[in-house]
Amino acid sequence: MTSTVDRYLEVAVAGVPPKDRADAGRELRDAIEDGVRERLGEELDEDEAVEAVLVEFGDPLLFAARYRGRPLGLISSVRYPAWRILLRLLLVIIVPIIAGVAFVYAVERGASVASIVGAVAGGALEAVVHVSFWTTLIFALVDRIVPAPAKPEVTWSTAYLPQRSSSTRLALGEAILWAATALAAIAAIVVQHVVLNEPPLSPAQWSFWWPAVIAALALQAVLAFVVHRRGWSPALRLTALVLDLAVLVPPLWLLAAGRALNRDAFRDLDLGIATPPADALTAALLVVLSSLLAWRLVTAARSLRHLHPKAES
Amino acid sequence: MEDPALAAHLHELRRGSVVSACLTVLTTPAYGYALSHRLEEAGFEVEQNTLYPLLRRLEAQGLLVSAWNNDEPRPRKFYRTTPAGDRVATALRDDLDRMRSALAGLRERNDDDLDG
Repeated sequence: MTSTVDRYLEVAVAGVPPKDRADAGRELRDAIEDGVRERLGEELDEDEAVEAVLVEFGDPLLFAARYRGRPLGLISSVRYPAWRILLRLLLVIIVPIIAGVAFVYAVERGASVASIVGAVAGGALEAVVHVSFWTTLIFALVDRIVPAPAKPEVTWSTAYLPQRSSSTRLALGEAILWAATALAAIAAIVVQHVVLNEPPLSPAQWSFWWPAVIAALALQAVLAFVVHRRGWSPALRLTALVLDLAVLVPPLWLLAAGRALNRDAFRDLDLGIATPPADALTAALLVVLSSLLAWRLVTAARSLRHLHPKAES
Repeated sequence: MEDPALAAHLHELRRGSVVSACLTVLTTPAYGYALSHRLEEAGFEVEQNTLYPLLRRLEAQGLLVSAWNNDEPRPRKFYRTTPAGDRVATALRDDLDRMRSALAGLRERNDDDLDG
């Protein structure tokens, strides 16, 4: 019996300042023994009674944490919003910078397309892990050194609200911006083909893929104004998602297969890097377009989920 | 008690009243295990791993004093309230009373509105 109780007490009173530990341990031991004595009347042998009492007393780590008076969590709820805002901000700023640095370093060394993409993805992942870990560690340490106040130190104001119109309709300005982006992309694809002797986009893909992408971009421009006039509906959200896929997936696939770019256009280009410029551009486009695709998929999944209850009613 | 939402709300409500119950009982000296029995009989569910750390905290705040009683066959650590502890207990009970009558007032107003 004693060894179990001793082991329990050792953990439980670890949260008490050392000078009071013996006192707290003695008090708890008395309470446990009182409980055991009560239960011995219930036809339990001593080991069973000790077991029952300790189970009732619960996890000794809870004792320790409550003796210590610390919150049972990594970050107190008062400081959680600040942690979340800061972490998001740091990730948005630092991760692209590290990804960019990893890219430059890889192309200077003359890495292949696959290892450039790998270096950028690895660098970004490492940045996410480091930023998250160190930010969280600092908050957790602060929480343990300076106990959190009952109320947030920084009062909240409506200025913290995300900038987004509450209506389901797209503002005219947003619709124009969206359509203009799509039209600019079409213009860039057409102009580089018509004007340049050696266009950067592979002329071989004009047989099908470039016209298909242009068609999808044109439909996006139309969709912007439909959404402006009628507001978002589940069908339009789905259409937007399909068009996003139609615009982004073919170029990604062609880039990965090494068939998107016209290598002759880059032959005489000297950027002072060891990787051929065509490969560097392929890797950069792969990273940017796949990030864009991931972002579009996440926002589409969110907006479709938000619409779901409305669609049912 | 089948309803998990109700159980959670009751737990929350009772947790807030444990301090006033402890300070009320301890105007007469008692040791932890006896105190937890008295509270349980009175309908206050308080876990051991909450009670003993709480007693220590109240003592550190000067609301309780403790002493080992070696007269009995088994020595035990007895707690009782200080004058400051009694004042806090009175203030907490007054506030509970105020909340009860405020709650009754809110209910009466609702009943009047329904009649009117």
